[in-house]
Amino acid sequence: MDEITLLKRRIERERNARRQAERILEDKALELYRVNESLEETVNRRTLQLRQSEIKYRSIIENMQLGLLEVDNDEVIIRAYPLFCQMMGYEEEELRGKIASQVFQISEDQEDMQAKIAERKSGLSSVYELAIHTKSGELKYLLVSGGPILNEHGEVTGSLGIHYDITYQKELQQELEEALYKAEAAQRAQKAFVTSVSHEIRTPLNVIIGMSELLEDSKLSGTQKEYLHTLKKSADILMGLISDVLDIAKIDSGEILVNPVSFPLCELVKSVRDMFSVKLEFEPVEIRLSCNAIPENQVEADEKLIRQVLINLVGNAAKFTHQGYIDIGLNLVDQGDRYEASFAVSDTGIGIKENDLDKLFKQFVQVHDLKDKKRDYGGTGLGLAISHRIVEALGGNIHVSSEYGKGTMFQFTIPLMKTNMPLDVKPSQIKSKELPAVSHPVLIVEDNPMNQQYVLTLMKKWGIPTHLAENGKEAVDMVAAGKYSLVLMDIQMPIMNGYDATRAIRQMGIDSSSLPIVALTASTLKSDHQRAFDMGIDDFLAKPFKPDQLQNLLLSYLPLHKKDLPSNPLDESMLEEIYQGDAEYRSSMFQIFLETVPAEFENLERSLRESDFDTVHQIAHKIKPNFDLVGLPRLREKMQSIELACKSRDQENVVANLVSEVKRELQLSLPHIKRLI
Amino acid sequence: MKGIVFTEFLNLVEEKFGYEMVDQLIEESDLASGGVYTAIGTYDHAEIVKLVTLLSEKVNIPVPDLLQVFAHYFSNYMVANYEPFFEKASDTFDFLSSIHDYIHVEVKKLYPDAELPHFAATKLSESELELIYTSQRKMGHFALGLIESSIAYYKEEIAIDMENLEEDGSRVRFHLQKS
Repeated sequence: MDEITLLKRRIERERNARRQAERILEDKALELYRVNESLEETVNRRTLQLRQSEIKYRSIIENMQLGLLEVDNDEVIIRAYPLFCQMMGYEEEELRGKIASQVFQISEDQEDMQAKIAERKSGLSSVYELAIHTKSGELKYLLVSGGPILNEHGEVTGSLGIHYDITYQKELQQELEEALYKAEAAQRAQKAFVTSVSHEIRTPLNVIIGMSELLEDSKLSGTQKEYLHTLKKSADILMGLISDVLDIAKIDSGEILVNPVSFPLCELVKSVRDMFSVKLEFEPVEIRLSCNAIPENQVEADEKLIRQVLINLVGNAAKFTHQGYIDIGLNLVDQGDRYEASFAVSDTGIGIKENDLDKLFKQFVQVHDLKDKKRDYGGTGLGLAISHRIVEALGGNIHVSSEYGKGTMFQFTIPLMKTNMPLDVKPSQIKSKELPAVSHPVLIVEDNPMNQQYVLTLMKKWGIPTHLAENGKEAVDMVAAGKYSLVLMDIQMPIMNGYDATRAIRQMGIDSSSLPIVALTASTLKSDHQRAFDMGIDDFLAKPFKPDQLQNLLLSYLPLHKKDLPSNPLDESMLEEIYQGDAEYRSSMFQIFLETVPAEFENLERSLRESDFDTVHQIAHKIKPNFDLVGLPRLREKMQSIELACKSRDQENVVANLVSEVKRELQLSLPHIKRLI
Repeated sequence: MKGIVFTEFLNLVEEKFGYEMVDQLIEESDLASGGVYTAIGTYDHAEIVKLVTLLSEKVNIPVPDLLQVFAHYFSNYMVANYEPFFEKASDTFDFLSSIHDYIHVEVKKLYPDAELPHFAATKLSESELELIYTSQRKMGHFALGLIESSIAYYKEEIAIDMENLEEDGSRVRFHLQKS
């Protein structure tokens, strides 16, 4: 081929290729220019946004009265922001490079803070309070929100704390706490004064009443009898007033102690009716009873409190009804495991004006004009207030409706637990063999000869050996010298009282399981009970008590002869199913049970005494399953009931009863559990 | 296909057989581009097939052998212009393993329209590497040449075993064994 033609073609191709390349390059350059333009615009926009955002957040932080501090992992201050410096009275240069806890004199025992700092090193944020010293040595309280500072590899290099000054709030809180403490102390003192004065009045008043009764039996002239009648009536009224004042003082301090017993409800309303029929015998007022309860409707409730409310309401009705009738009604509604009892007391008395109705349940308020010349209604104005509070304490509510000049009706409704416990067991029917034979005598500590006689007679009748101590000191000496199954301890005694004696016995290392101590006391104050529990007393029997009450108590507390253990309470078939004959496994499980459950149960009892139902619930829930593992499914069920009852506050008594039942059964079962290890 | 393949191919033909052969290939192949190529342009892949096939006929060398030789030649250009890619890897296995996840990613940034073959590398042991080449261009032998050049670059002793996974050569397995 012609070399020139070839060369021409080559040159032509090269030229075309160059043009093509130039065009591509030009396009590429243009494209690059556009990309560059848009990049620049984006960078400018982003820079502006960043700056605005920084300005925004900086101004937020600077205006928020929050002090910021950055420290490294060794607590060395890297940066202190202006507001923090201002808060602490330092210049930033004075702080940089210093160790935070040293410069601010943070005391070592602020464990919380140490824990939080440790947490932060693992990358967690936290909020806590801190007491810290300023440059001038002033103590400041700060609320700190601390978070880790991370480097680009995600490692914690230090922390940033945001500090808010809460010194003022802290001081205010302390002042308030002090004020509250003082107020409460004053209130306690006042209450103690009212209570003690009332008690003091009651003693001579009892003497007056007693002497009047004695006088009544002597030969008196007509006038003298009239004087005596007035004297006795006045003393009775005074006694009623004092009782009311004591009641309201008790109620006011939240110390209304509900003490449930099992009883047939219809008997209660009948006895109130009977009491007033006698009183109103010569009045033109008829007293009626309408009641749907039958003797089989056995309930568990505080009979004394319900009776008190009923007597109060019927007494009121009697006071303001001059003719017509008073109707006592009881409507019992069966609700499965419990009843709802609606009591109603209606009368044809003088009635209450409508705008007075809402004042009715207030303390010291009487809606009837006391200056009414024709009649003196008397009273403290506390009765309805007391009734109202009692009904509330029983978990119920009370209402009144009235038509002025025609009559009034009070109604109260309370929930009542059903019970199957038969109560028709009279003391005379109890045979001594029903009580466990005891290996050691019961120690009776009582200074009052009448009370001594009462208890000793009963014990003798039941064939229970007893020893007698006249005071606490004697009791302590006797316990130290001999062995007893149970101590019945009076509280108020000369030389040494029951609290001190109990404490002394417990300090000798004799605990409840080896020697239960039951207090015999007239006090129904919760705080007295609490004090007694703290001293190591296991239970109470309120004086005066009936023989069956003492008997029940003995049944719960008297230990049985070691040699004749009652039939095995542990469910053998259940144990077989769980352990399938593996005695070693069973033994180790029982060991664990013994090591944990009795101790936890004691905690539960303590929480119960402190009315800390959340903790009671928690512990019950925790130890509940353990009872199955030792073959006590019944106790597991009871723990469950405790758990359930804890949820409703009005079931305090139910909880207390269940706990003492579990305690009793647990104590009976422990020897069997130990035997199987 | 990127223009660089065409320009380098024609450079090789000129170097070995003279520009007359280049001219003949272009004139006789009836190419849409008219045989005018620039390294940065993009052209139909069929044109390189036509050119290689025609060359094979004229010089009586099989197409696979031509591709393999062309790959060696092409590698020189790559090393001269893109040495950093080679320097980044410590040895052949390392380099070949980086093709899919690194080199091709970078190429795509520079030439978004580039159509690249798929190179899946699996290290079977310290001394064994498996490479699966997948491409509708079916240029397995070109890939073989490039692998050989890489081994030469890192001055290693590695045996290559080549096996078609698809009959048409669209999937090829290379087994590399260090000695």
